[in-house]
Amino acid sequence: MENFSNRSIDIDSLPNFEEVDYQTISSKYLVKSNIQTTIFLVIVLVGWTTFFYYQASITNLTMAMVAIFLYFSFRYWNNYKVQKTYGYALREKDILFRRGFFVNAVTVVPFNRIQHVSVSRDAIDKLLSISSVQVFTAGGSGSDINIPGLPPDLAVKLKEGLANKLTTNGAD
Amino acid sequence: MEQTKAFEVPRRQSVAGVALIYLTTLYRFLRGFWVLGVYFILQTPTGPAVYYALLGLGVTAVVILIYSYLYYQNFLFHIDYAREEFILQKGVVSTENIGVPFDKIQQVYFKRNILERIINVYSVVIDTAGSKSDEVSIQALSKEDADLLSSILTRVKGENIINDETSENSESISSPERWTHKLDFLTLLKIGISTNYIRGLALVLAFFTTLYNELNSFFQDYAEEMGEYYERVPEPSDSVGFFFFLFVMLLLVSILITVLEVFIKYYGLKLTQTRDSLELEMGLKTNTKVAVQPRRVQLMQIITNPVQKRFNLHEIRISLASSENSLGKNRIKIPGLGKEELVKVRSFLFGDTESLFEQRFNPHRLMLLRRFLLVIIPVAISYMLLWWFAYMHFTWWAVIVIIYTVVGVLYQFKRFESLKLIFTEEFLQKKQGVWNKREENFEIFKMQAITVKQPLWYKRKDLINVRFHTAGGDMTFRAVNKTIIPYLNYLLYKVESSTKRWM
Repeated sequence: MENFSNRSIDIDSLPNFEEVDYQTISSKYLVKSNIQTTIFLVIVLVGWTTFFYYQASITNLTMAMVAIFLYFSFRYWNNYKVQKTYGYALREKDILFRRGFFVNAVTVVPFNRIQHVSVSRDAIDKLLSISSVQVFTAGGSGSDINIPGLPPDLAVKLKEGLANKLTTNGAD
Repeated sequence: MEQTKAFEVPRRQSVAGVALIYLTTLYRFLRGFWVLGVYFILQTPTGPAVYYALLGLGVTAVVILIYSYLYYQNFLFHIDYAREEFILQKGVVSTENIGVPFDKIQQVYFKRNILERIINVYSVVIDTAGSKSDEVSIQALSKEDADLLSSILTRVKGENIINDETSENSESISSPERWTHKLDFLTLLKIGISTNYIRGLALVLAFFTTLYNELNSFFQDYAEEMGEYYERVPEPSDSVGFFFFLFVMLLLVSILITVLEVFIKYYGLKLTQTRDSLELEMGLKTNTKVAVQPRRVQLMQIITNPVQKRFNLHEIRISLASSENSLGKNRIKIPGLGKEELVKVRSFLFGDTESLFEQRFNPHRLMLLRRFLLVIIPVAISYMLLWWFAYMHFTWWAVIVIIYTVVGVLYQFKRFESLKLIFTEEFLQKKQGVWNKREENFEIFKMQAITVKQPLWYKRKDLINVRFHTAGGDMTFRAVNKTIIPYLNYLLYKVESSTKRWM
């Protein structure tokens, strides 16, 4: 505190996090979202068919079908919309991650507050050859970020780049 | 292996790990499907069913065995000395590659469950600040490997924070008292009377509901024998007088309970400031003792209500960063502080700082709409229930609803008015509360991250919700105008230019 000079800061001239350009994620992630939604759809349809087989009332079945149709149309449409909003950006001292269509959220994590970084891939990721990068902080799950749909080599590069930043930036 | 540094080359768990993984997975699988097993046994199975079940079981066992082997094969960890990182790769179907920088390691410890004891292996857990689920654990290491790994990790982590540890240890040895604050009987009584009784009331209500139910069922069981008496037990809805009496009784009992709870929790509260920490001692039943170091404090709340303010009583809640526990658990409550103690605690924890500027933000009126909606929802539900079940006369319902709505709307309006977010040079503060006034503070450089959210319907009005993440919990401020953005930039600037340790 003592050696911190108390210069006045022009708040409006500070770098603005709203003015960064975001990198988009791979379009394969949209395929992944759609696969996941489809798996869910199949499960729901199997359930519906079971009810059909056991001769539930026609009105209920139709109503259920309409609900299923509406819900899944919304889901596919939402997948498409959300895909466009995913983005990440690296600045000199922090990483930004943006996602969400109905509620658009941007999380900013300064490099010197990152605890650790990991790269993960699930089965669908492997099939489509994409990866996701997780950044963990001490601020609880709300402040951890998970960037999906990155090309595997980029994900590894990003992870290692961040790790480098941590040791040069965070050690002091 | 001896020439290179230990664990430099990626390596696996000890071979016994396969057995461990196998048994653990099998156990988890069986735990998931035990219901099926019970069902099967109860059905007294016939020939082919037994055959298929055994076949299924056998196939599962083999699949799990293959899975375990692959898991073992893919589980690779090493220490990257150049990058100063511990690296772990794992997973069969989904894979994960985790890197933990040396200086982020909080502690390294051993863990052994029964299985590990049986096959004589150890788990090494690498703990970072952050929630429980973030910790990294390497199961099934031989004793030598576990010892070596943990000693290396402890050493490399120690190189980074050794100065810290020594200063921390020395302080507890020589700690001259600066000031002490004790709570006497009268103050405890005042606290008890002036805290809100909702908790007490809830306890009492829970007690009486169970009692009432028990008695009711008891009387109903013996209804025939006690028929005459039972008829004389008054129905609760009999008279207004009865209700009033019940209400007063409930209030008295809940006050009593609240006072009792305060005495049990805070009896003998003693707050002492030493050179480096605040030491707190309290409790009738279990004596709690904590030392709070300023550096560990992540979030502080000051709570008071008009009555307590009259008595000059304030409660401080402090959230600490901790590596062992999950967030939120580490919250310390110190009630019964006067204005003077408040100032002392503050200046000790945060230093005496003069701010060059102070910028206040209020939420937008749009937030009220949401809040009013929350008030209206129960009304709508109760109306629907009334329509179906006709549980009371419509006029009564209307009277209750009108009173409720007026009170609810007024409350929400007051609450809205009380919400403020205040930026100063070193602190961020949020004020809120209608009756219980809460002031939440944190030092800007201790912030971990910011999340800015904008729902679609905020776009036209240029509003955002902001969430500030600290290691002691989040602070959220809703529906604030985008003019706040430069100040968020300021927070980021403060964090990113800070070289101070935040915990």
